[in-house]
Amino acid sequence: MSVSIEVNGTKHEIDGDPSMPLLYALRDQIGLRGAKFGCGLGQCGACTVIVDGRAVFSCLMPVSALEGRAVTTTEGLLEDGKPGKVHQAFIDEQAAQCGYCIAGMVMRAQHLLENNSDPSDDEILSGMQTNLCRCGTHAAIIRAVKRAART
Amino acid sequence: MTMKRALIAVVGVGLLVALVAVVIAWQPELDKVDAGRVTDADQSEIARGYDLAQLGNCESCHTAADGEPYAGGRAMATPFGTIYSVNITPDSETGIGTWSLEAFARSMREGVDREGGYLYPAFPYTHFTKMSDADIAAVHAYLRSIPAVRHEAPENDLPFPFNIRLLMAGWNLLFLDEGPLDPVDGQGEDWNHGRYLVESVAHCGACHTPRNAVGAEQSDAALAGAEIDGWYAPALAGDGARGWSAPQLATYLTTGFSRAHGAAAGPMGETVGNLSKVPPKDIAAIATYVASLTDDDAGPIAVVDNGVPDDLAPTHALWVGACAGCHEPAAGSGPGDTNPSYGIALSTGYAVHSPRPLNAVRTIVDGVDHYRDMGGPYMPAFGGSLTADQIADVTRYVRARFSDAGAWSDVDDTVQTALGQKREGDGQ
Repeated sequence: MSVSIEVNGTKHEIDGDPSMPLLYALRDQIGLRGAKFGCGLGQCGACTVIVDGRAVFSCLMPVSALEGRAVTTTEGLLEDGKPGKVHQAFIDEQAAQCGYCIAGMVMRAQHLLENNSDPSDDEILSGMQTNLCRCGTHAAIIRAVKRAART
Repeated sequence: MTMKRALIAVVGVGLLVALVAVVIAWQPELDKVDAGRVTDADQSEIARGYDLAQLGNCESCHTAADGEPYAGGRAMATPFGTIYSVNITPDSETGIGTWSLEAFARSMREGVDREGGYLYPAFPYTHFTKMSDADIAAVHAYLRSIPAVRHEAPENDLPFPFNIRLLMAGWNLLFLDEGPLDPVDGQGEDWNHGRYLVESVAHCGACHTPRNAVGAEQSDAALAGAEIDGWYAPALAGDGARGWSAPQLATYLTTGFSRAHGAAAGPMGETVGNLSKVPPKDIAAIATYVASLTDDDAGPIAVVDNGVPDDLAPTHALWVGACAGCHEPAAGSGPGDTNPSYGIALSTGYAVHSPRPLNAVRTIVDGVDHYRDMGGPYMPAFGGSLTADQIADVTRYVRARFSDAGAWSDVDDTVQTALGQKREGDGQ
């Protein structure tokens, strides 16, 4: 079976098991390694990407659910090959320690800011709450989201 | 002239009746007491008041989203319009800081505020009226001890005639059975304590009992199950009720999960967040009483797996990719009563067997979230990642595969409604 999905503006034909998670298609077939496998259960957020304007856990998103839908990954936020606005804010705030959660954090933040360009602290906390950082850099991540909102 | 006289007589009698009704319904304003927070009250009474306030879910209804605790302003959609909960902190201007115990007890027993105005039964005084004097005093002591917050709740948005509070006097004549509650002879202390809590402060019937056309709980269908906020509060008594053992129920009420019944979600998840703070003795009593309401002794739970439904074969890919990681029945798995790290076998969950698809659909759309600072069950929300058609297909798949009850007829409409009611700002 083949499913046609659009990733970062480019059409891709995904072959294989239709129940395959989008995360595997992105990493193994399309070669986009930004989204990470964390828990595989929708509990950590490391795999977060944006589908049709909503932040989703790509580990729980079978490709059969994606026919004709548009996917954006952290690679899609690059601007002329350079870090985009949210990326740069994370760099400026040094919001990564080991970095494993960061691609997911960036996508969750991107989704938050697309829907709310000037979030309050409470809105940032509730907007980011599905994404975990085992290193404990949440304070820097929240600063990065605020910085991205200002730029 | 006879016609005119008759008319005058009719109008006259009508006015007289109205006047008498108003006089009967009129309630005096009660004196203000020294305003503000009281911090030197009996600590054990305050502590018991805290327990009772958790049992009563007071904070859940009297706190707005992102608002200060107990400061009111949560909107409650009713069939009659939107009612906003009021500020019950001890603020003297916007809260109940000037309410004496007498005024507070009158509100709990009779549904009348300090100023003499009738309250609406969205505030469940029809249950609180059954509390003991000592328990009402304890809740009052607790509410006087919490921080005062200045916050004016929004005005209710109720159309005519529901905005006439005096009408509640007539409603109360019909539907308010003033308490307190007497124990039942021949039943144990534990059972009676449980019945007392269920009927009074915990006001279980406010959600689990169906209401009549004017919003009163149907006394002949107590705890028989009802729709609430887009969820279905399952039957706890009567034909539709599934049996519980008391230990199962006690576990469910404090952890939000029972292997044999599933996870607490929606309004019940919030309730469990509060009940998790309640002393085990009270929870055990509630469990004893509620478990006694059904004959079924909640024996072994049959694990149903009818296999992949023929007409939903394409949906199997969605199931495998989105659900199976947690919910695929493992070989040799059996229902236990502990909180697992993985999801339940869906065939044991009430949502899948319910006569209506509300809870299954809402759980898929909203997920199951943690409440307050407790852990408890968690499921990610799929309302933002799957389409309406996909959610409906997964709902049908789950019903066909894990329940022997027939297919639901109103899945598509339920999904549309649920997507409209979806919580924003969290989950997917």
